[in-house]
Amino acid sequence: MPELSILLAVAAGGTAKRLTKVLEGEGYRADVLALGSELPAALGARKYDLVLLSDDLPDASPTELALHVIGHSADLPVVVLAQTPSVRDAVAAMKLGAAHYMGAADPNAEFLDAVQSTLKDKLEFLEEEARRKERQLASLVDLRSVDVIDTIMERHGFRDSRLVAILQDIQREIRYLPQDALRHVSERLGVPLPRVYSVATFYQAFSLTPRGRHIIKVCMGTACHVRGAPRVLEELVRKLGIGPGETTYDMEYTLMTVNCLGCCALGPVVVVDAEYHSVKPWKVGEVLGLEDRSQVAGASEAPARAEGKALA
Amino acid sequence: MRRVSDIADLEKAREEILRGRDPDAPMVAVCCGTGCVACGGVKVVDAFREELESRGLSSKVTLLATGCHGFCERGPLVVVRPAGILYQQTKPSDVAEIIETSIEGDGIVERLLYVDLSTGERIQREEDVPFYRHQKRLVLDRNGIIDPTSIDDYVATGGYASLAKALGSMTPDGVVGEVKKSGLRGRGGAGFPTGLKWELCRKSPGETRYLICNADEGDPGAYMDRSILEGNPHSVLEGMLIGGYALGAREGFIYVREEYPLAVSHFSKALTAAEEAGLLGEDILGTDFSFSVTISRGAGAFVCGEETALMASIEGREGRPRPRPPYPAESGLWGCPTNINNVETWANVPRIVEKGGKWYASLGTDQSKGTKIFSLVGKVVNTGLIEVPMGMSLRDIVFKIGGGVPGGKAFKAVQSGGPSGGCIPESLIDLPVDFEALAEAGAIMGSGGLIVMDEDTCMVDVARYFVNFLQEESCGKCTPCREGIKRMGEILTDIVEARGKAGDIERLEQLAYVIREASLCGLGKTAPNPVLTTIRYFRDEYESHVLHKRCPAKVCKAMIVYRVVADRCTGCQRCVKACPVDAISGPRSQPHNVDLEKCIKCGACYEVCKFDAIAGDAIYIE
Ligand SMILES: Cc1cc2nc3c(=O)[nH]c(=O)nc-3n(C[C@H](O)[C@H](O)[C@H](O)COP(=O)(O)O)c2cc1C
Ligand code: SF4
Ligand code: SF4
Ligand code: FES
Ligand code: FES
Repeated sequence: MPELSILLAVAAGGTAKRLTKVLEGEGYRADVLALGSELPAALGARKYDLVLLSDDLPDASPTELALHVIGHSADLPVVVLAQTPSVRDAVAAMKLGAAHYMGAADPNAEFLDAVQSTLKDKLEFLEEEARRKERQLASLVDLRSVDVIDTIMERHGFRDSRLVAILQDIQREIRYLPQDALRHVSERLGVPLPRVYSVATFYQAFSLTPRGRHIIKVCMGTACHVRGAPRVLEELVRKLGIGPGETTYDMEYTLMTVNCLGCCALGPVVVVDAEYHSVKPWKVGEVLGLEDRSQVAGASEAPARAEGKALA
Repeated sequence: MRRVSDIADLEKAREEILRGRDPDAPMVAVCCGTGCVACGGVKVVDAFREELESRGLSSKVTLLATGCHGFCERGPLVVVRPAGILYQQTKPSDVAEIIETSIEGDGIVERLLYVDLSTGERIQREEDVPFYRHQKRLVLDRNGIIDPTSIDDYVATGGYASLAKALGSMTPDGVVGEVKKSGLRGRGGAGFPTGLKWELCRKSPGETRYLICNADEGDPGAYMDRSILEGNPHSVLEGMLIGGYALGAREGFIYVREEYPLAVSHFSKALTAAEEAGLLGEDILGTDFSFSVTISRGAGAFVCGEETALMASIEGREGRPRPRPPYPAESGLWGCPTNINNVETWANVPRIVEKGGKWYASLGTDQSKGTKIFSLVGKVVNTGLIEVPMGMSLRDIVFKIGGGVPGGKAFKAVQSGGPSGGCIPESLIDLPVDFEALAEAGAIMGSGGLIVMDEDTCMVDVARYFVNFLQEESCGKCTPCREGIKRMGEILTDIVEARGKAGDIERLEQLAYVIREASLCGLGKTAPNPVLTTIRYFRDEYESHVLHKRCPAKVCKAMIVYRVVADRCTGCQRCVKACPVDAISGPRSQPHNVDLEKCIKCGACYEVCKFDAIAGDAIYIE
């Protein structure tokens, strides 16, 4: 479990010190902000898991700040801390989407409880979301795969010499090679499962895990290498927060490297799905229309998607 | 094209096609090779189609979407014929003007012409552009002239006449003899004499024989095979058909790399068209020769370009090489005699049959005949695909055709032969490019990738690049290759990350020797080449990294820091915008500052600064 970070927007003083101590005692990272105007910069500099907003800041109300937090990331939970709690304020905070509303003077244990249950809810929500996506994918596979796979094998005359081609066609249909598909192929072709696996793992083109909706291929061919491809890749890794061969958590992007796409004149080349781009390292985000998905999430103005060029 | 019933009928069919065409009719050829498509070629074709239609010119002007013309640097390319005017870097918005000026009128759109950088002169005709002027195109000659998906275009320009000649007036032995006489050597890397290979296969006992066309094109930075298949697929098929007749094979395979969907598409269209025309399948051209071709797609493994691994892959297994002998000629696909040649090798065959082996042998050098296609890429002004007679000097290739290094940088080296090849330094720039001369210099011809490097290229980094590539691609079957390359990679990584130790260079040389001597297949045997040639010619660069922790080319991150040179910085803020981590700050019009804590050394500021005010200093560690 990585360290969870909490941002406290609380006027400096006793409360701030007390709450920081409580949180740090539980192993959280706690950063304190004494001015509402510092919030945007703080949110940009680090990925927080929870934001606490108090109503005693000199320059901003919790409502304004909560709106900003939610605008920054809909997944980031907010807890509002009131010096003088009132039902009306509580309702207003909840309407804005705050996860909790509590008094600043509430006992430490209650405070901790609120923080922990909010974090737990968030985690469960994210996990459930991931499971739902996986289920969606799996059922997609179930419904169609047996038919699809049989049709493909038929097209290749159920010949084991066409194993590589069969796996390629399956992958094209379902975007990866699910375990069940491999087992099914092994049974129908009468090829031992280990051999199917050895073929499926030998070739780079095959993937045994689901791939994202968009495939980003970075050319690492020699011509692109001498023109700066490694820096383009580094930038993509930084922006997407994943390494080559990996898929983003939300199944949007899979990042891959390839060796020469045959348009070296454009190098360094990046292909997004079927669109070719000639990319300077510092133009990666702009050209690909990617918002920055790493920690340095200063990209509030969404860059326009550059006009793509589809390969016929 | 209609079905052709016999050999004499092919000529008739050709005449019919030509009769339906007006040789003087205006024609627009738009390059739709991968490079040009990537910068919008298809949109230019669409714009032409619409514009011609709206002007009622569709039936009078032929619009062609062709394969790669070679000059990819300047794409999308448009050539207006018969005048042969070359327009470069065209956009859909240029189309109306081109039609108005050069098709409806007989003028020229000056602003779209190629400008010769050395003279400042605008050049009108394609063949006068220096990039094309010094080439000799035997294999690429039809790229840019025909629609690769039209068998009519191929036949109209004399296609399949060589097949007809072979079937009609030559014995199989006669064909093999002609190929031997031509001196053609394999274009896939090793340069084995093709005629001899054919003869060995032909003489091998066995009922069934197979042919393979190797279109795996693994060299990262080479794309000639792709361009042939995309631009003129029938020439490869015709070569294979002639080979099938000569060797007594009835079945052929073509193994195409995964990343080449357009090549697969064009080649399969060619197969269908040839079959419908009676040029493929049973009783070809009314003779008793029958031949079929199956397409196999690669699945992303460099080692599958090696012939025995490739055959394993076609058979549906993981592509690991096996020891030779037996050679494929004796025991190949499913244990039958098999002849495997590279795409470009096959594409040369129709020419040899057409004009004779003696004619072919008159081109090139003593040991290396004919022409060779190279992909001239990297730090060179005119990136593209070129075809030149064997023996042309590297200097002519890089400077006359390639136009030298861009941005006023100094030329440093050419890498030839991909991961199995080596780097040739400036001192050997007058080397004639043929199999022997390149081998002597420690490089190889390989498949024809020529990667130009300039002063900003670090040779140790290049060596590490290839070693990393090979480490990933080694199939892992034999220890020297699997482990040895890995060790080399570790040493090189240490060197570029400023952890090099005295003796590292010698250790690399020892490892290289073992890997070369003890590996099973070509991948391992040639893996040390990039390291050995860079040590041989750029030892000082290695020493600088190892002993002084300096990277003269300022590539190796661990050895550089970026800083602003205050008296040059104008405070223009270009670098501020470029920096992905906001590490540069400073008020406008005042010298800026780099925050070394934040800087990730991406080099963006260095590259965008117009005033040379960012310095990548080589720093000393320790
Ligand atoms: C590791 C390795 C990779 C190879 N890759 C290719 C390739 O991509 N294309 C190719 O034509 N030959 C490749 N070859 C050479 C083939 O093994 C074979 O020699 C060649 O296809 C024969 O055709 P040729 O005589 O026409 O050159 C490779 C060899 C090795 C050892
Ligand atoms: S030399 Fe390398 S690639 Fe070739 S068989 Fe051995 S381990 Fe495999
Ligand atoms: S090298 Fe990159 S990260 Fe460092 S200051 Fe320059 S632009 Fe910013
Ligand atoms: S090396 Fe990247 S496209 Fe050729
Ligand atoms: S792709 Fe158009 S010239 Fe090469």
